[in-house]
Amino acid sequence: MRVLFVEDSERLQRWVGRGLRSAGFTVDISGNGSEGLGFAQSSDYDVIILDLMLPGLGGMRILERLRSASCKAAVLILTARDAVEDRVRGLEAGADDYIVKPFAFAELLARIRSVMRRRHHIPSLRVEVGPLVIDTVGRKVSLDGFPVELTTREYALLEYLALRLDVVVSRTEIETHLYDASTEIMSNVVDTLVCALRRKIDLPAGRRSFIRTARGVGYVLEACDGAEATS
Amino acid sequence: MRSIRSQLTLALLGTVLGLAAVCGSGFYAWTRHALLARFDAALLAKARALGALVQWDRDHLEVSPAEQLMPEFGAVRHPQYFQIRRADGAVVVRSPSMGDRDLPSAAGADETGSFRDLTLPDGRPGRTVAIQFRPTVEEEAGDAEIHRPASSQAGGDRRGARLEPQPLTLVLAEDQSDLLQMLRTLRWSLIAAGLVLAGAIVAAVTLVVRSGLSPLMRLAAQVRTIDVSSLSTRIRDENMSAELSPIAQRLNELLARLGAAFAREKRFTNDAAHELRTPIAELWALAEVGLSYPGDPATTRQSFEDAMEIARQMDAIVSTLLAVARAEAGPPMLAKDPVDLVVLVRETWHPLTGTAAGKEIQVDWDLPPTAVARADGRLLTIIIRNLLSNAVDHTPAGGCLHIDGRVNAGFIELGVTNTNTSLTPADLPHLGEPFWRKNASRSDTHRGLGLALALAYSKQMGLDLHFDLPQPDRFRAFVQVPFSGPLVAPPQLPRPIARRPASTPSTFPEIPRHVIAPGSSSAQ
Repeated sequence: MRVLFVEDSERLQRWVGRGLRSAGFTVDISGNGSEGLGFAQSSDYDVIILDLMLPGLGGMRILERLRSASCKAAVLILTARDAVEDRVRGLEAGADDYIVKPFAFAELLARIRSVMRRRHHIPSLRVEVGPLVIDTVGRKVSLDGFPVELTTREYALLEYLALRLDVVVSRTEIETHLYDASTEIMSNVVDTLVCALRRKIDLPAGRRSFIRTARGVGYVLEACDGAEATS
Repeated sequence: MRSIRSQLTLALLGTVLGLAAVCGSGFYAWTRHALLARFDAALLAKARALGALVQWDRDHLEVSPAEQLMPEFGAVRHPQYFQIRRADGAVVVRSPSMGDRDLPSAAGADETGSFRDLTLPDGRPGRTVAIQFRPTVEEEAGDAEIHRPASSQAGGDRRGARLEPQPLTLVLAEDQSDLLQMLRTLRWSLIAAGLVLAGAIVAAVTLVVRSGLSPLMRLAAQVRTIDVSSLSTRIRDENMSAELSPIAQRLNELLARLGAAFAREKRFTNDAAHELRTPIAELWALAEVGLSYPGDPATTRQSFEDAMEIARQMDAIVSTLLAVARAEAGPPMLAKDPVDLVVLVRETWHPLTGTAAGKEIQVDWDLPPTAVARADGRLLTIIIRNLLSNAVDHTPAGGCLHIDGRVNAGFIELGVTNTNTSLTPADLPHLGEPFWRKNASRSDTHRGLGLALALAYSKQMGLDLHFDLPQPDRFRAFVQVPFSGPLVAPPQLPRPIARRPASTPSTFPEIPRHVIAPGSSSAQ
């Protein structure tokens, strides 16, 4: 999942960004309101973590502009303002959640995942695709009850496809959500990543592949048993 | 708690009812006295007239027939009574109405008359007058029928008696039941009128007091609705009485000051919480992320460096807040040393030259060769350092900074003017409030405490420090310091050339800083 973190404290940028990346998120960071709005408008983010008191453009203004532009990203306000009227104003302006500083990083992660589940209408913390089980809290994957070791990027791809179950996801969309703006992406990086993931989660020959290739479009994680074999 | 209205009502009622009672009682007493006096006067006149009827004829008393001249002494119904006694108490004459009864003796009676109440022989309330008189001497008896006085033992004996002329005592008794009835009627009339009047007074006083105090009650009702959450409420003083209008005005002024103080306090609390929350959040995040996702040695070192920097910032915040609090609360323990303000400004400016040069700020100087103030040099240094650093930090790149000073009317006036890009007149009252910043973000390193500290120290030292916008794009901080007079030997310092760019700081003397401000951040 791709996260935009708009925060003017350099140390928070550094450590929260590092934590989010370590937790498997693709993170873009901005310390300026105007720049952050530009990031949000130019890329498709799953979650935007937004401070309210920002140089350039205030967080509330950013939120209002994003919502008026029908931005679908989940917005999580992270601010030192704890007054009830501030929280109400933020939530009514279109924020999906509101966290007051200081905060526990684990709580921030949990809230990000929570808003993502709500966005994708997934009530459970586990996504099951036949014998494949994805634990979105523990970030673990098991197949027929046996754990599957995935890299951070592989897990991010699998979780993203799982959140879009039975929906074809384009390569570009995958790139956008898995790689931040500063990463130089090779043209076949998604295909390579899908290939690596398939090797780890597909059953031995003769069984189905969970990830189906939509030729010329992208990939889809299918829940139905009659999926075609790997491409 | 006793109310003014009840106290006033009770006091007025007590006073008015007391006065009414005293007046009524006085009127009754005066009327009674007057009626009694008139009654007594009539009684005395009648007694004297009766006495005039008694004549001394050679050796005996001759009494005219009083029952003919005064038939009331012989009346069967409601008669009057009289009795004449000699000095030895022997009855000389008694009225026919007396029969063989006697009136009480009147010892001590004189010619002016002695009055007393008694019950008449027929049981009616009466009043007597006893007078002493000497009968007139009649040389020859007239045509009138002569009544011979009765001896002391016999009543009604009309034979003449050979008696020596001597003073006699006449006791006259008359019915006073009419008078008493009149007085009773008057008394009860007064009581009834008093009760009606008292009721009317109670009603009138209550109404008058209520009406008179209604502006006060309205004021109290308005004040009663004001609490901490409604300090913006103002007391309406239209149609308010002249006595209460100043109170309403002062209350409104007080409310305005309270509201401003509460707002300032709330802002301070919010700002302080905000300023402390962010470094705590930073500390928490770096610690938690470091524990959850241990990194390489470089990352670990970075986390420690960040933790130290956070600690320094929090220490600077707390230290400056404590300095502000001490300056605002504590009694000043100020030194009174001669301080050359020009030297001090140059000395304080020195560490800022690099920053000013880096921002290509054009600095103008207009200072006298020397200007000695008598003040606490340490606090004065902190004030000037904060003013100068505030100006340098908030002057945009390529902007102007003008430092001027002059001696005027016993004061050294020091002004620091810099290019302003953000402040408006509405911001000026907030300058000097702890943590107030035009830009609330942490895009700069300021905490909004520098000017607060400068202002607090200025107040502590009794200096006049204020801020204004002489032009929309110019911000000016201005401080007045009492002038102490020139030093005996002013320091020989090179004077900076006017309008010299800050990029050539070498013209300023290298004077070591001897005072470090706890906080050098500012609010612009």
